[in-house]
Amino acid sequence: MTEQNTGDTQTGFPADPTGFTKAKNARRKRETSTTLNINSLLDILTILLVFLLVSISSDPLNVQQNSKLRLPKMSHGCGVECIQEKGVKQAGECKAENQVVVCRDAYRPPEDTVPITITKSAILLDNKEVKTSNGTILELVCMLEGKQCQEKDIQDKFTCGQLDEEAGTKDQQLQAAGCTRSKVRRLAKMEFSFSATDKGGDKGKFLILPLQKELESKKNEIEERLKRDAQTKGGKARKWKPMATIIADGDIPFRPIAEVIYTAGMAKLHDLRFATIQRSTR
Amino acid sequence: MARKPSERSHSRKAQGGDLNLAPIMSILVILIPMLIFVFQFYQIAVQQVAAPKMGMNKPKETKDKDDKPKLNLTVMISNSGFKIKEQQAAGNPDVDIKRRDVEICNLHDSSKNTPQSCGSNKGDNRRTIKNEYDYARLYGVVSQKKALHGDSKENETINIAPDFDVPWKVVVRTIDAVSVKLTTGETWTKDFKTFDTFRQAAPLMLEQKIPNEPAETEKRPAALFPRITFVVAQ
Repeated sequence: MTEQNTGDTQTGFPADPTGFTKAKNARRKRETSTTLNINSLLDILTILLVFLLVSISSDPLNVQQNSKLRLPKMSHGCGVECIQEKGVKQAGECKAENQVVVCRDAYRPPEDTVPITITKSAILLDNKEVKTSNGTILELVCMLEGKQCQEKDIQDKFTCGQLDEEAGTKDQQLQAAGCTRSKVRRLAKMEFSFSATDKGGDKGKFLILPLQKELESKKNEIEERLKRDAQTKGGKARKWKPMATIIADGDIPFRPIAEVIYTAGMAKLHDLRFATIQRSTR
Repeated sequence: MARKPSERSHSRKAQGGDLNLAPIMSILVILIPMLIFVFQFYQIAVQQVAAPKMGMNKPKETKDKDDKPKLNLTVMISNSGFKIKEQQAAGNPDVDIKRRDVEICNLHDSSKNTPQSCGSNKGDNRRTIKNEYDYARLYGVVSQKKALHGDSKENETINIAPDFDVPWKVVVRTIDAVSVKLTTGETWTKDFKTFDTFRQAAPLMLEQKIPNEPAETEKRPAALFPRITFVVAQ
């Protein structure tokens, strides 16, 4: 109280008879104590987090596109579905008379499928590299004009292909990106093949031995898992129709893909699908 | 007599227990960009195919239930274009569809890529694709053959026989061109005058039964040749 009457001892100023300093200090205190309310921001971020986690975890294929894997585009997909009475459980395989082909704008990939990814450099089974009997990685060999493809060639093929497919790309833009006619023609000569050693020494064969081995073990693994799940739940094991989904780069020629399809068939994965990116135009 | 505690001091104590949200925010700020990076901003669709037949089928007379000759079409894809074979054809010659230069509407906003908004004059909105596969004519030929034979279950299959050096994206676009009926109006169209109208044509949507719930219906694209079989020449 004495300080108020005699003035501020620290600054040496006389006491403010109007009480102006007091009001100013109070205002300053109010201003500094105000904090940003982040509750609503936190709500938005939590909803976004849940949405992203659900979207990512519900995707059975989980495809990541890059210069070595650019999926072809398609406006819709078709597949066989089984018509059955509501509430009637399907026993065994769907009878031919109950099968109906259904086309949809985006035919979603089924669960419990074996994803086989064919990139410009390797083949992946369930996003893991396939090992050969020597312990090396099963590779798709890329050759360009008698030499092994360089990283730059693959990157150029990706850039030019992407620009060419994009809506609104002008010829000048293609030229500016270095995608000249001669370069595109040169890159179109890229050849992709599996080595003869992976096909039992004969390059003309279709069966890729390391892939067949891995596919069979993957198929057994899924069947074992379904049996285990059924045992823990105390029911009968769910009937699984062995199916594979082929996720192949659009620039790869048909030959290696036909070899993978044939190998999948030999590993008794007869139900085949291939993945594409859905778009509105053809 | 005990004094009632002032409301101001009491409420201040309660406020002192506020949860510190800053660490949670920090985690979210790191986690969300990471998940957005992994997230796919495109939709993956699948197409079912039958396991390949090795070697070309020998032409044989196959008939459907109504004793009509079964349509057994094969689309061969080579570097020069398409060849459509009707295997047991009653004298129908094979149809060759050569690659050609096509002009497409090329607006940035693809929803405005209609022949009307693009205009007919050559200009900035149009781009010529050199030596393109003529998917529009392929659709025209196979849809006319389908219209002649009818929509029976036996006529749902088409054989695709690509050469080994044909890129996979060409095979996929071929399947896309022959699997559903397209329309520019109310009925399905069997011929497209320009490549652009084919590109922009919507699938014919029909009310169809929902598998697993036959009592209910939904609008789905009408199938043209939805069953795809690869034919591989050994």
